[in-house]
Amino acid sequence: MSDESHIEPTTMQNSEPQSTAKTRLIIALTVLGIALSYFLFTAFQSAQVYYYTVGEVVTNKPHAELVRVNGNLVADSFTRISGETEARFELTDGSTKLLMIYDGIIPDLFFNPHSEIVAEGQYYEEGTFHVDDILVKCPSKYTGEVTEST
Amino acid sequence: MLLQNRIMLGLILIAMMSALYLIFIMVPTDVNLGVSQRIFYIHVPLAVLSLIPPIIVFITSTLYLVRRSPQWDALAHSSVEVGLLFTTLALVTGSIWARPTWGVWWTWDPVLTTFLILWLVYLGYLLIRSYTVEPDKRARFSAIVGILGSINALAVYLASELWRTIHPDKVIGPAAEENALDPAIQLGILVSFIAILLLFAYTIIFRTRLHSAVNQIGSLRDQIDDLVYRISNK
Amino acid sequence: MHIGYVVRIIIGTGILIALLGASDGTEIATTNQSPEANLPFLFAAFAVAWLGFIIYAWYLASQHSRLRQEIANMQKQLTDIQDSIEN
Repeated sequence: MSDESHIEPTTMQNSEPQSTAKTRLIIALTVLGIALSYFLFTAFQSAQVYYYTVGEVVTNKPHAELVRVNGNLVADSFTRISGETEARFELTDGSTKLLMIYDGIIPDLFFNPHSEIVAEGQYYEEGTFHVDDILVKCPSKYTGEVTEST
Repeated sequence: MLLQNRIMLGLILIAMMSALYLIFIMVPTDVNLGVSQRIFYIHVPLAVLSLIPPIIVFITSTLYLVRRSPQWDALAHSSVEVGLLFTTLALVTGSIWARPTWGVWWTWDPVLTTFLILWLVYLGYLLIRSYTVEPDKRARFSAIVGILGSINALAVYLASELWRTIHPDKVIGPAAEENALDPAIQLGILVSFIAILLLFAYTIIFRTRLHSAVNQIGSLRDQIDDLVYRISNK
Repeated sequence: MHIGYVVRIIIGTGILIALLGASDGTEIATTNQSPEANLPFLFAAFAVAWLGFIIYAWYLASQHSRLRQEIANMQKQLTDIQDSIEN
């Protein structure tokens, strides 16, 4: 009940300062819009090239920066000396191959012939890639076990 | 409860039970991913429907700014709240699926990053709403934020087309590759999608009822105040 | 009130079980995996999704009943005032 009596006069006298309220609203929204677009821009810039191909890494030789490489595992290239955790394998984009050195846990689908591999790490001058983390990119086709024959 | 409520809830129940039967009994286990691929049936509908509230918000917020009718504001607010629920669940189920398949819970991939921004936009919209008390101002403010924020959904949709990503391509909808899915899997995802779509629609409708209840309280208060005013002036 | 706390405890333990199920899954052997190897993840994903829906539906229902209660109270108040005017 008391709310009503308070609201009435304020809405009446609001006609004058309403323009300042409006400009304040516009300023707030502009700031918000700029912040949002800046956020979008920076987010995209870092994510724009989520990974490079093997060929791009070998030709560009990205030095002293963390990059991701995408490629297929070269069949039978995976070697690991028994008792040690360091593994070596090759990734290929079809034409170029790159030697990977990795010390860590291998994900479930790493050896699956349908998987692509995304390796996060650093490229070294001598032509090897030191992997920090491995991600497996799965095919976006899903099929039951029976129909899979190709 | 109204008859139409009962019909809607019955339909949701039937669709959900059929979806569960298909997901756990009928569909084949994926040859590459094993049983974790069945997360697909809940993750994909959640993620796809997360992109619908921006469309609703864009239309209703524009209508609100033109017509200034509170019902459009109510619909925009309700769809954002349900949108926040759906994006949250899509992010969580996606993360649980990513761990056994990609090997990580999260990665800063374009699809994932734009989707996270969408989640933040929903959260921001609701926070801004909760800070503004005056109904008219709140509705106007929300409408402008809603229109600006809904544009971000386009980035999520286009992310997998424009940038290199670890996220699988679309397997349903107009941009999907042909024969990406086994027929049984296709039926499973269709039924699951219908079930979650019904739930999505019903939740938004139910949420708008809270708005109309609040409005009803407002008009009752006005009536009471009016009577009290008349009595005291006699 | 008390039912609310019970529901919260049930939901909390459900989330805990779901998280434990998922974290157990990470210990799974890496290479020779069976198709069922990731069953805890499947369970966790469905558990989280259902819990999310149930919590939100519960929140909406409680809000709805609170508002309806308020409407009923106000309607009673209104008729009381109208009666007092007529008398």
